Amino acid sequence: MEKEIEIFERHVQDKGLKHSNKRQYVLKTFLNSQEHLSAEDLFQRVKQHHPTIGYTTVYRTIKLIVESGIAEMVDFNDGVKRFERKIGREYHAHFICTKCANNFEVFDKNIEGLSSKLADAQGFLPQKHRLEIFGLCKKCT
Amino acid sequence: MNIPESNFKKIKNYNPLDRQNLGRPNVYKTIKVMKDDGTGAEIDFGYRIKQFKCKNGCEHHNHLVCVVCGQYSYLDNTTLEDLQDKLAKQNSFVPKKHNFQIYGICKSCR
Repeated sequence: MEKEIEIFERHVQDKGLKHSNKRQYVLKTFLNSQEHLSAEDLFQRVKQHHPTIGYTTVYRTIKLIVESGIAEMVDFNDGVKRFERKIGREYHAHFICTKCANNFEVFDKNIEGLSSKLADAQGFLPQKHRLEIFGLCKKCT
Repeated sequence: MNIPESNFKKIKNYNPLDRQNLGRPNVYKTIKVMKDDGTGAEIDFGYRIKQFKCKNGCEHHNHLVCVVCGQYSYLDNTTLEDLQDKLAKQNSFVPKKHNFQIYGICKSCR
């Protein structure tokens, strides 16, 4: 977590913003969560311990977290933007159940191999890829 | 929402600079209707690139997206579908559809 905080503080400084304990608390709450959180989810968690932190602060902090490269947005096609931690995590695909909205991550080296192979075939220099599979989970079938 | 039939035709030839022909709000409203009734689909490529395509009669595509110029090309679906089925089977999941995008730099931008 120390590494992420350092990256975040450096990014905040580069943007000409001052250090803020509230922003850092939002970042720590986000980093402590293992789930895919939306800005609203994060706000609800932050509010439990810090009721003075408003939704706007959470929303703006999430934007800074994404800009600094600590997290990225994931889209599960339900109109909600969720965010997940990026640094220090291996590439994974997302499985999303369209019935109960449950989602989970799948780690498989073959996805990366396939991505490089497909990109090479078209003379493309790949940087990252995204795979989301929608369907029905074990419970819902 | 009642959208005139002519809007759907005009939208194909829409030029954002030609405001006399069709206004921007009309385009957004029509796109929303097409999204809601399933005749169109929005593809969010990330990096603030959103594209809209007509779904009627088109098969699903996966994309290679250039983060420099925003151009995209289609990927071969068959290999990915095999992998998708394999992963789904391993995780007791019944796959229905997928989104797969590769982001990077295209031949002309390298």
